[in-house]
Amino acid sequence: MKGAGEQARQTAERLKTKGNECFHKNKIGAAIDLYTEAFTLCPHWPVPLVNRALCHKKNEDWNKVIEDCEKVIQLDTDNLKAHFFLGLAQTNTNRPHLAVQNLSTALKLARNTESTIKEEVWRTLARAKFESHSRTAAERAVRRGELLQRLKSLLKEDVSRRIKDSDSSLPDILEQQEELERDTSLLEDVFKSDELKYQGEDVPNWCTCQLTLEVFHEPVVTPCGISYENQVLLEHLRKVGEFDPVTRRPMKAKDVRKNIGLRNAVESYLDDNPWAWYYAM
Amino acid sequence: MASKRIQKELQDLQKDPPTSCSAGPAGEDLFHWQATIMGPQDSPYQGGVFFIAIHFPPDYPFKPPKVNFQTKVYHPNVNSQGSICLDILKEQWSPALTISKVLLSICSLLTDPNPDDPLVPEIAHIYKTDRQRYEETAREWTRKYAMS
Repeated sequence: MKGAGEQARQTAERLKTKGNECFHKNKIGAAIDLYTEAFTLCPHWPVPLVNRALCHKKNEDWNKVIEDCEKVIQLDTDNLKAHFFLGLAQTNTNRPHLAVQNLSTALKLARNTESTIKEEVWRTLARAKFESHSRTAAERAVRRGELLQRLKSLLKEDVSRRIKDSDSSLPDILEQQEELERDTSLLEDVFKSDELKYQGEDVPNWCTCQLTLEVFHEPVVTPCGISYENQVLLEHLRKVGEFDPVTRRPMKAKDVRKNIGLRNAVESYLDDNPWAWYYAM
Repeated sequence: MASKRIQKELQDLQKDPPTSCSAGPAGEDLFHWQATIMGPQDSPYQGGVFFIAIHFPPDYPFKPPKVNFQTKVYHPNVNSQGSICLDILKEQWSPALTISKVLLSICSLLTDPNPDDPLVPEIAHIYKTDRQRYEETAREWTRKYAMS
């Protein structure tokens, strides 16, 4: 005799399969209904919810994506797709700070399982990081500007007061004013260097692949010691020939090794210069 | 991959343009570019401006771009159709090459023709046997076709 739970699960499986069929036929509304039914029957089984989130994603109904993914993560903390869809929905609803956390988790999970959506996750994470940086930078620019004006007028007031208090001679007054000018220009320099930290234009060459001309996300190294983006190097070996693209020395796909050190260096460069995430999107 | 990579090359060219060449889309189509090369100094092409058409194949950079002179050039490795005999555009192509590097190679081909692998054997023969005549003709063609 089968238990009631097991029977419910079997029905839910069937509903989910039907839901998938509808989804592939682009009948999104019908698929949502079937997944909802499956989930109601088996509220501890996350799969129908993940699939329903995918439907909402297709409809760009981001708030519903968030709702479903949060439920999935409660049931299954390591669910790659739920973290990814949640992060994507948060990016698209202007919550990049939250998105970064979920997408970072998703990237870690995708890398552990060598998932095919690895690259998509990486690009979405880059977008979230860049948007999050842009927001921080914009807020800071406003505060910085206001602070600079306040400090400048305080310096000025201070000098005026000192001149007034001591009935100074003309040379003294001139000296005070010169000092004010020097201090003001130093202050502006200091503020400018903070501003520059938040912007930049060129990613150093060591961060980019010579085949894609883009920032590395899955670098591999050849026997010649040159690093390339994994997928593109493999495609080169398949389509162009079995040689290192730069040195032209013969090599095969089996000679390729992951370059985790470079990957970490690139990521830490990007985190130190978050404007550069733009080039990884 | 192709359009992304072409876009990236375009950005890099605009950010950091190579001396003596320029390149960019000829019109709306990202896969069809036009480039110009200034005739290298100390070559009979000096003072000329040479137009070049570039066509990117759909599976660029795994296949080389098609590169042709649109301006008539008197050169052992360039024929009357504007085809260029350059190893890196054929069997020596590598996806690590870019349009910028290709244009630089064409510049050095103008300075140093390769008469041992000619596309126009007659010009190669003159280049090898009567350098002065080659230079005069090349200069004359440059004046006639590459200077407005």
